[in-house]
Amino acid sequence: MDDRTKTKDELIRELRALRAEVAALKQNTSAGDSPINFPLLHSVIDNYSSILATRTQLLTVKKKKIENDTWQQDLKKRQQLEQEVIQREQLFTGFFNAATQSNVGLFILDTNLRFLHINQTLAEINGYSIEFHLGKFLPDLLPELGPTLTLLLQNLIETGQPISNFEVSGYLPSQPGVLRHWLDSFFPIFSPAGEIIALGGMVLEISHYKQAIEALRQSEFNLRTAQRIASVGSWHWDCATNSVSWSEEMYQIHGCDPNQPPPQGKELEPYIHPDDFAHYQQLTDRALAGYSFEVDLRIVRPDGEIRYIEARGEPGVFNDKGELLHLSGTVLDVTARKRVELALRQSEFALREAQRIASVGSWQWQQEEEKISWSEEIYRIHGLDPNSPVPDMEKMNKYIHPDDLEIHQAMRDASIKGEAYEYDLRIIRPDGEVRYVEARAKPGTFNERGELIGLFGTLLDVTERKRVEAQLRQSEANLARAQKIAHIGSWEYDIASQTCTWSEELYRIHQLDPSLPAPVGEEMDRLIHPDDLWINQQLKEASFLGRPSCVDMRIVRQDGEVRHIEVRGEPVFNPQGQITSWVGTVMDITEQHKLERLKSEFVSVVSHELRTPLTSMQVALSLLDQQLVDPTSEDGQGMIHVAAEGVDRLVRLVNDILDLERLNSGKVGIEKQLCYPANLVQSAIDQMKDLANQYNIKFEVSVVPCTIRADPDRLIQVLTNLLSNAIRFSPEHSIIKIHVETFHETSLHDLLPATFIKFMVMDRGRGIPSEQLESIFERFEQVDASDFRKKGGTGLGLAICRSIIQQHGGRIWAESSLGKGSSLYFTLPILEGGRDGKETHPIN
Amino acid sequence: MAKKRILLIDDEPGIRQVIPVAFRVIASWEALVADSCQAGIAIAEAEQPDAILLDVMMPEMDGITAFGLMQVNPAIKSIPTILLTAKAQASDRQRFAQLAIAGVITKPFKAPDLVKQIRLILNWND
Repeated sequence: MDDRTKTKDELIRELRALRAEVAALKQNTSAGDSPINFPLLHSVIDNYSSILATRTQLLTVKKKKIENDTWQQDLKKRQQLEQEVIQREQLFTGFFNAATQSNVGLFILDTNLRFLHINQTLAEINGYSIEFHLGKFLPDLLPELGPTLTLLLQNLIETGQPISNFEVSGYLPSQPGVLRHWLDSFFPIFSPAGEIIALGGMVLEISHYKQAIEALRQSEFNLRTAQRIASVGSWHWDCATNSVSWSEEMYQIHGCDPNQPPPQGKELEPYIHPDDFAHYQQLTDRALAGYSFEVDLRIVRPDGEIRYIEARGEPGVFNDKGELLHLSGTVLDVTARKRVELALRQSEFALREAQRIASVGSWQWQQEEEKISWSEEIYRIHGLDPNSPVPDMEKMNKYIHPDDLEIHQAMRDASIKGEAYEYDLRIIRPDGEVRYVEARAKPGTFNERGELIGLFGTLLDVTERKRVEAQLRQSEANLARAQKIAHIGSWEYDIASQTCTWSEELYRIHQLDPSLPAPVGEEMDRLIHPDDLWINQQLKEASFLGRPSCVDMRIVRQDGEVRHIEVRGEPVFNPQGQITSWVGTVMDITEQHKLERLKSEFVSVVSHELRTPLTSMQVALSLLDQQLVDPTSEDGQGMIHVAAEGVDRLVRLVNDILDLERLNSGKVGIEKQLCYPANLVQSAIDQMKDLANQYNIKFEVSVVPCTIRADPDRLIQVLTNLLSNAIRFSPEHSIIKIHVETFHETSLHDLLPATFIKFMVMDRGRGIPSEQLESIFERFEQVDASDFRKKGGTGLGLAICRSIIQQHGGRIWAESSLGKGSSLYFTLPILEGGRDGKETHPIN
Repeated sequence: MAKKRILLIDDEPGIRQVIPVAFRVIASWEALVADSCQAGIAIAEAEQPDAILLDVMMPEMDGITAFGLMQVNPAIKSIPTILLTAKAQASDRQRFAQLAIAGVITKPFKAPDLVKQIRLILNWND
């Protein structure tokens, strides 16, 4: 059939058949075959619309040909038209290729949605070759997108309305599982008769754009979230438009409605705290000059609330001409931080003040800081500048008292182990002042691996306390010493706790262990002499009545010794007038009691010794005086003799009493001079010669030659006393030995070696019981007073001897064997190297 | 009436010398003397005197101890005993008052006064 005789429909059908044929052929050919091998065919298919138009022209020409019937002319015309078609096909192909180069996908479908043409870009998007597309149904090739596109395109076929910039998203065989996005435009292709003969389309892949948009959106979302979480707002000022934009958080920070535009220019002024406004303006100027800034400001919200912000500005951005283009910055709401900082500052101030007032400093060590930090007060305690660094170990040692370095080392050792400690030690300030401190540390903190990560400790200045304690200790020691000297103990009984506290001296008086609690109740009663328990009862009753009381009673010590005590007590009242405790003293008056007893006994003895001769004398003299007895008679003579002896005896007694009293009171001085013991002994013997002869007693004398410094009269008095006693108690015809020798001994006076002279008078008398060897030197303590009186003694001789010897720096004692005799000794320091015994001088 | 016999126990020789003379010349009493308590108790048992003058302060055994012994001695416990003492202190007097003694005569004294006091204490009207 001749083309010129074909109708349009016939041509179309022919073209379709041809297209299908080509597609089949393409499919059967190798992949490397290029459509360029079929340029005409391709052009026909691809430039369908142009071809249709050309065909229409050809038909018109054919009609004319038939009409004019001039074949040659027609052929020439036809060749011209074909050439025109080829040019159009080339243009069409060029357009498709150019679209490919611009990454724009193009396609043409027939009304059955079979691909008639597709460019390389779209073919690659779909994941098939161009040839593979041709003749295939779109829903078959793109199963994921098929339903959507089919619907769209059928709608287009029905309505004839193009679809522009329709965003399609979905999955393609080229990248299974990857969501991709395209911007599609579809349009109908009409025949000259206005019939839709094909569908064209343009596809622009926007996956990357969409991803970028999504990323940007996510980024903005993140930024908003971050700003909200961090309370950071951001702002931007554009110089060209002189406008400010705020981030959402900026509105939040300023308490403004985010739907309103942000305040511009001077509108922002009311938002700044008046006190910070000048500062704000300075910053604004600085920002406009292009400098960055960072500052803390206060802002005022519309509701009046004051907030703290930390505003930061980036350096401005300028153009080539140096003109400012825009500024941006951030605002951080630091109100919470500021409040915490303020609270912390107040807390730190309070802590600092508290530490200063309490003289307590604190220190801490944190592993991450790798250093020790001191509070201000620790510096003050150490007398150091608070701005100076914490002294290192070596320097620190200089600030510790040398005697307390071991303690300091122990503190360090404990710190290294993270152990708690509490030590008292002394520190030395740079000016040399020694202070007492109490150093404490709590147990360290450790991490989960058991490593020490933190230490905290305190330092308390206890100097004043130590001073007070020392004073108190001194005072207590003084009191204890005073109590000890005075034999006065003190006690306090607390009614509430029913406990008693005793002073050390009170324990000593009772000879109890001071570490034991003070006895109360029955325990106390057991310490009291059973016969005096009633006195203690009286004391208790007086105490309950709130009356001060003072009683004397006896106590019995653990070893059975009875002591006399004077107990005083008085109640202590609280402000309500109730008795809360009793306090009092206990004085050991045993010695005083003994003295009083001795005094009483002395008076009694003196009384006896005086009255006894007086009685004889008075009876005798009264008989004579009243002429009841004739003085010349034998009775009368006896009376006179008794009276005379009595007088002698009284004179001796009175002399001895006065002598002893003068010696003991120091009213008679010892007048020392150089003398020879041999001479002294001889003088004494001379005085006693008559008495000795009376009893036929002889002396055996042995005296070492030496010199002493002594009062010769007083020593002769001692010797005659001893000889007199020896004579009186020796049996007749016996021998009294007098022996004088020297010996060396440590002086009790100055604890230096010294030479002494020792006198001994030994008799063969009946001896002295051992229990009386000491007491015979007491007044009126003769072994046998009646014997003594018989022998003319007064009972005061040995007491006088002891006083004289003691005043010469010597001592006197007796040794005896009952029935065999007694030896009386006395020693004196001997003159040697200019040293001498103690001298005494009379007191006027 | 038989002559009164009084036992004087005193360690003081002067006393033992003058009191018997006083008794004899003033009251015609006979004095028995002893220089110690032990000797005195023996004499009292043997001689059964009408009264005993007992010195308080004596060596070896004092008058108070001796009086205690006499009180438990049936032979002599009924003999009135007068203490002679040079102790004039109140405490001594209180001590003596607790004893079952006839009386106390304080030294010193004149001879006639001694006799008077004995008569008074012992209610003698000789």
